[in-house]
Amino acid sequence: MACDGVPVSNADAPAVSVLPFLATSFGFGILSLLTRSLTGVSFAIGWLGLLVSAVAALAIVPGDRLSVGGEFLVGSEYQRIFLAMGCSASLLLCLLGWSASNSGTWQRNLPGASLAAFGAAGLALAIPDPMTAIAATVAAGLVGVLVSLVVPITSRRVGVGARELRAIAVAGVLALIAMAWMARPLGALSAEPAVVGLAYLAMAIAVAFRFGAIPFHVWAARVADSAPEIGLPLLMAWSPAVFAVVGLAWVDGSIAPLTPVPLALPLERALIVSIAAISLLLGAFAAWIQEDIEHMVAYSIVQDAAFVLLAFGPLDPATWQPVRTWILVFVLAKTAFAAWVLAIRARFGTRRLGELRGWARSSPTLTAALVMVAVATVGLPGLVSFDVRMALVRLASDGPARAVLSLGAIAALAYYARLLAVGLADPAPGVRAVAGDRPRWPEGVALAGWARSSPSLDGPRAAPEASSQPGMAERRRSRREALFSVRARSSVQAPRTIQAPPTAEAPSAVQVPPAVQARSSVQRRSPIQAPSSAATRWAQLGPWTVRLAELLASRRAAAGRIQRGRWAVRLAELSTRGRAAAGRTREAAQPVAERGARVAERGARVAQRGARAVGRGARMVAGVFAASPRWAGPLLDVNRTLVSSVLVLALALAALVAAAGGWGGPAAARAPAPEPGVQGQAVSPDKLP
Amino acid sequence: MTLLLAAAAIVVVAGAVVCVSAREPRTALLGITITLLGTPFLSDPLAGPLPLAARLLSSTLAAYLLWISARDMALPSRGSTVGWPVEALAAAAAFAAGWGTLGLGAPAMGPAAAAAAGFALATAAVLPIVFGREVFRLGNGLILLVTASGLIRVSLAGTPVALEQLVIGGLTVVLGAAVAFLSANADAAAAPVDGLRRRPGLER
Repeated sequence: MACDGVPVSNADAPAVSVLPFLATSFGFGILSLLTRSLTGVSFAIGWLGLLVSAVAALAIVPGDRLSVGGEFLVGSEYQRIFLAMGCSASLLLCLLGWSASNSGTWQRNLPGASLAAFGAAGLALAIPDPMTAIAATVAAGLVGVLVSLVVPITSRRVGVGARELRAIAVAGVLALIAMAWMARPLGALSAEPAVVGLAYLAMAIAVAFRFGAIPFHVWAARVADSAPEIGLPLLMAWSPAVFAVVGLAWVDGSIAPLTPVPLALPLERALIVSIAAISLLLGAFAAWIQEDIEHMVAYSIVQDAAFVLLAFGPLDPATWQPVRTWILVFVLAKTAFAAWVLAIRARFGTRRLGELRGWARSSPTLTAALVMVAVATVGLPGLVSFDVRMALVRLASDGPARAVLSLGAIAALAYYARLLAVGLADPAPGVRAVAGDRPRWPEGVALAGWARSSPSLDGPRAAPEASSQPGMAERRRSRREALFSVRARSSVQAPRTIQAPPTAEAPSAVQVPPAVQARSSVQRRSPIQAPSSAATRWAQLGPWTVRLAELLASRRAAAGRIQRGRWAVRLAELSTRGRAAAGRTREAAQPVAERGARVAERGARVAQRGARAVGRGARMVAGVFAASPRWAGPLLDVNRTLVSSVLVLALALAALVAAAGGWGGPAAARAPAPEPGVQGQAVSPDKLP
Repeated sequence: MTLLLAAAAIVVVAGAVVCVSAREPRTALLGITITLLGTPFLSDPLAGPLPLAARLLSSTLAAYLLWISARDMALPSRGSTVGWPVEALAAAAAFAAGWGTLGLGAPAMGPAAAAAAGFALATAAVLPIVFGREVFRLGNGLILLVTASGLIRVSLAGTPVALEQLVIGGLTVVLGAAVAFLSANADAAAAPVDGLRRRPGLER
């Protein structure tokens, strides 16, 4: 059954489509967090949970209602899309983080915390009562604290986590009190603009707090400094986005009907639009000047979140559709941007922009991903993301302010352009030393030595005399040196010296301070470059399996030759003896015996050939087994570069599709509300009592 | 009923004062446990048995999570910088202000005791939140603030429905878990928040 394009479930039937999502997200999330000491198990549970939750989110039926404890849980199209996108993006992000991190740097709380946060977000978007919903969004934000710390845990990082906790709690308290203030019959007070204005301002400032809008950005900047880049989307985009959706629904349902648009509350509205404008301009500027690309992501989130804040300005239900569409694009684009940073750091071992010169030349895939992220964020005329940004600017301002906001809307191009310009410059030494996007054979496996001794799938194994040719040996040596030199540069702290001019009498090298060396060595260590111990162990099995097969083959060949030959000879002897015993003359028996011996020899040759064939087959099987790291490698660490690039590309593509109006975003945002007051559904004033 | 509510509110506020004044983490934990367990009773009408049980259970769980992080704490907290009498007097003043300004100019749907306790808790939470250098103390302040907002919400908009009670219970547990997580890590890192130096005499 459908109502204005929105399918709704039968009112008489028990509607429980929201429950499976809540059960899977909370269940798997808690399980993943409880098993976090077993990193692999926790990751597997969390990853499976995200997968199941994404499917469960897609199964949510818009309009589905379930009575729980005197309230209703109501499914909506926006909730379905938001949760499905969130779980899918987190799925890819976790996979990317897992493949790009070493066991020591992996944020083991991420899958569980993401699941719990999306569970709370799903609950918040399903509850019609804004006060209950805002409590759920605060819980969703608090769960994010679990991913704000990364090893090594220092007092500074804990302090940053505490600041984040403070910001989330204070924002939640502001919103809750504002809602409680308006949740009762105000009587004569409702005619007082200051009364309504205070509640409205408190909610807008709470949202600004959560997004880290300037001037409430200090905690967000610190979080970017301390938290892993993989946790930034959850901390700074997804959780605050749900908070903002609930806040917008409340403003649309409780504040807007009390104020004649657009004349009411001019001071409060001007203040909110000013905060948004400052965040738009200064956020773009702050992102542009950053040297650390993770900080760039954080400030880009701050900048793009200003559009959400801008939607609080007009107090006009017309902002509802563009802002909800923008939230979908925003969270996906920022997730893709954070994933891009993670892939860059994992590949090049640094987040410093100066050390990333030429990254784009080394990685066309990541270049394409960044371009997609930029297009999805800023948009092009005709793309939904561009249209909704401009619509929000139009609705929130006029005159010179509109020009300023429009400038802020396209200011994001500055930092994306800077990233691309740095990427297209002459490659830095660290970037030059790192392999490109091309699929490659595992260096760790080559170093382990099996590549030389095992039958390669590339072709026939080189003969010993061929390998002793000078050219071949030269190439092999140079390759080994190249590999070792890369490792030395990347992890063993090669002496970083700046050569003085030859004419100078001073010592010929200026030592870089130890602190710089230490930092550089930490940054240079690229997890992608280093094979995991599992892969190396797996690769070391190769030579052994080949040797085993050779041994088996030679034994079989020898055994076959001897046994079959022996039997043939014995048969011939018996025959000869028999014939001799029958009274034949020795001369007569001689040719028969010779013929028998020839038959025996032929049989032995056949047996030998057969044994060789068996040996070749065994060696082939062993070769396949030994070469399996090359196939399993992409899932382990052999081609993690390629895998991470593809994952980032997938996320960027998803953001681009959302920006182009796919994923049902705009359609969902335009969908009429089955129930007034449901978070994530439009609430028009005429539906309110 | 009003007397019972007032007594409950006084117990809740006393717990908060103990929490923000104590230097010993376990004493602070005792104070916040009293506050968390007393808060669900500050509503009129009282929540149903199941929501009430859920709130009490969640408060116990949050306190237990805090206990896990606090029991092994090697260092005592700085405690209140102004001393417990000042904290107690400030909370009492806020209690009286909250009781007297019930509804803030409009009809209130909840009891005055909830408003009074909410105001007192919010006042007690200010110092730990603004000047708190230790994660445990800051976290306790945040728990008090969130609890205060819940009490003010009860006083303004009435007793929450069962689902909201459940969600508030979940929020309490998550907040307790987050504070416990950060406190345990702060203790492991053995340094106060913001990298500030410990007070002389409190070094490990």
